[in-house]
Amino acid sequence: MFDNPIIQRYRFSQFRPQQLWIFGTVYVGTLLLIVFINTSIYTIGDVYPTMEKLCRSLFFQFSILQIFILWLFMPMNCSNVVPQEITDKSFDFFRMLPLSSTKKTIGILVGRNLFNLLIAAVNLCVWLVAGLLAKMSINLLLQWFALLITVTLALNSASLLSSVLSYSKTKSSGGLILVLIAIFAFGPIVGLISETVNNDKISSFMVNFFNFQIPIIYVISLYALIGAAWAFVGIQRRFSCEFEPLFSRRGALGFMACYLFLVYALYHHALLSPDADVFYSFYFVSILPIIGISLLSVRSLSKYIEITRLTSSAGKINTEIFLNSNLLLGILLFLLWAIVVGTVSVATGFSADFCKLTLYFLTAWFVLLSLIEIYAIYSPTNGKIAYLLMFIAGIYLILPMVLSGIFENDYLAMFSPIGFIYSYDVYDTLGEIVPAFIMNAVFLIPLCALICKRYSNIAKLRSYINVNV
Amino acid sequence: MSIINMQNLRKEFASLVAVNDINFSIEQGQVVGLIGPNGAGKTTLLRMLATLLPPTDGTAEIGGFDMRKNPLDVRKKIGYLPDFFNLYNDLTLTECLEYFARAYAVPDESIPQKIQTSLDYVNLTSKKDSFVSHLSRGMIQRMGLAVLLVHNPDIFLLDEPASGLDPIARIQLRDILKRLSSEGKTILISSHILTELSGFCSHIAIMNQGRLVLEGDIEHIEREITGFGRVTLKVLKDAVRAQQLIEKFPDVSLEKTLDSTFHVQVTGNTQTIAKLNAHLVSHDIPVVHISEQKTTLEEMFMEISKEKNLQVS
Repeated sequence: MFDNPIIQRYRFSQFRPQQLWIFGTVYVGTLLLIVFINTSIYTIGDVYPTMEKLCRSLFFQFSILQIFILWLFMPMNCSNVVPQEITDKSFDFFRMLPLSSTKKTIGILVGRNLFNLLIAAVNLCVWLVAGLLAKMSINLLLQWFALLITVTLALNSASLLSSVLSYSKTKSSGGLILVLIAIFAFGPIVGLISETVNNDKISSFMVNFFNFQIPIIYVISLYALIGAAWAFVGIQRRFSCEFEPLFSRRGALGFMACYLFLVYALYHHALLSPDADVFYSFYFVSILPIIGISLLSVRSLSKYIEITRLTSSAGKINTEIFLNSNLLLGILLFLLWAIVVGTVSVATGFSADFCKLTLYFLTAWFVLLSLIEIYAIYSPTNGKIAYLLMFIAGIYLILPMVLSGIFENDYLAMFSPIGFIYSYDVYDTLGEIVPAFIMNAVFLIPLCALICKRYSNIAKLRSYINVNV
Repeated sequence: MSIINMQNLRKEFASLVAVNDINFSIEQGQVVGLIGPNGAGKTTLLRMLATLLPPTDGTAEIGGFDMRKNPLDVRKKIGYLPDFFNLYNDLTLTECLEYFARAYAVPDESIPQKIQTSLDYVNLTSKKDSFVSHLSRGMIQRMGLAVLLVHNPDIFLLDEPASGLDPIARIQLRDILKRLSSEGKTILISSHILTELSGFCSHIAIMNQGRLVLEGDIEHIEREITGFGRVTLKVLKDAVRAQQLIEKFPDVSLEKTLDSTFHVQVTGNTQTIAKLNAHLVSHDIPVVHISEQKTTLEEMFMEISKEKNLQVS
């Protein structure tokens, strides 16, 4: 791995003696300071009554330090790789390198954080020693080790993915997003570590994965690992198919299938008992990524024009456009989800609820999908249309809930898919949600008209190019 | 033998056809100047050949590899210098070249020598331990060439390499390119500053609105446009009579007169000049100087633009 030229390139810049000793001194100084302050407290005060308590506190503090290095500094480094190359105008040289996308990915993930990895490795030894001296169970230490490694892989891969997604941008907002996430995630993480230090119960807290009982930390690690693997595949796709959307058709359906499998694995055991709340929870959690996947698979207007190049008649062009459209992918994703969740609903005896909810969500999904398609086909001629569409989507998703609150009427909330999720148990019969169908259908008419108009323009444009250019 | 062979190469950006079904071959050792007004599609064509931009249709075989099927193999064969570029500011010149040498799989043992040779070639040896950030624009441009030279590609694709350079840096760059061409490297160089291509291009290809409107070796195109060419004649005495004789002489047209010097357009062959000389001498007008005037690329380009009704921006 270390013969990777990209790793060696970063080694040149990160291991210069003048900066190595500065950052090395900062780290060693921090380490010594933590030990000095804690041992002083142990010697003078009565905060740490025993040596074990002192070591547990040190373990806690080294864990926080490790998390800062692995889960904050390193992902921040990865998140600005491509924007920095673009800003420095060296990106074409990077793209021209005759290296496989795997080599490029590993090269950046490791090389960009070479110094941080060295510090993290030293810190890991110190952390382990503190844990052993604190008489933490080996099982718990192993679980934490797995969590540290897998979440590090997931966060760094996701950060690099966010970086390679911004080919056309000169600045990345990835670092800022990470800082925001860190601010919100810091409390729960500190709480989790604190819980670990104070008692070892977390290591024996089991969750169901299908019918297996697995410690929760291992389950989180497994999901983080799978997330890292998908992010890794995504980075490779971006390096090899730079001008394509992140998800290919197969990739989008594969990711959706994987997500459904992982969600079902967690719900499987609970779904065995016929509990409506569990089913509804599974239903709503499983449908969530459809919008995200569709947005990351969006094909642009130029792609539509390109794929119709070899088609001659206008009728065939329209068919060709639809077969390659974002609309069809959205429908396929919904269909895949409906097959899986529908099967579960039949097996658990909630098929009637499934049909009622799905009829509602199908029309709501068509509305959102149409907005996505309008963005794809109109944005090349009007770059700001995304703001208008986001505004419309915001109104569609939020306004009914606001009105429901103002007028204290739960039925108004069902006109928004989010409101529907929040108050799904209010609507008992299909008849009660018919107004929402009608509203969605009315909303769809102008959206579909806009899409059809553009599709016919693409056909005309293609014919014009074929004849005149 | 064709080292670059483009077959129906096409690139569309929405409704814009940037490169329109180009079929064009470049033989090994040719130095081809890619000429055209801004927006003609030169950069798009070069970026497609460099495997940085996927074609909408068609393909090109470069150094024996299909650019669509084997982009990594194509990248090993070519050296592409983009129009706007920089290198890694946090590396020294030696480190930068070592990085590229390793990336292009240059054997470890020959890397130091390759670095030295490349730096010597572009005359940057004295700066080998300086950081890239300390180089001037002209030096960066030369360093860009050194990055390409370190893996010794057969084909150079250069996109406006002299843009933004001062006259001295431009001359230095031209000397390097002349040296490369004398070593038998194949070079495809785009420019809209035609003087920078004069003197070392063996062939030119003219693009306009995505199409290749004319291509061939310079002499052939020159003949096609201006016939045999232009000749400058200087007579020792009797300039008025000489002018009358030249004007009446077949296959010759007088373009400009300056005292006893005449700029003549010859549509015939070399015999025509010899006959004109003899004709003047027979009328007791001694000719003291005859020289062929080469058509500059600018003149050729403008002539072709007029002929083909090109839009020159």
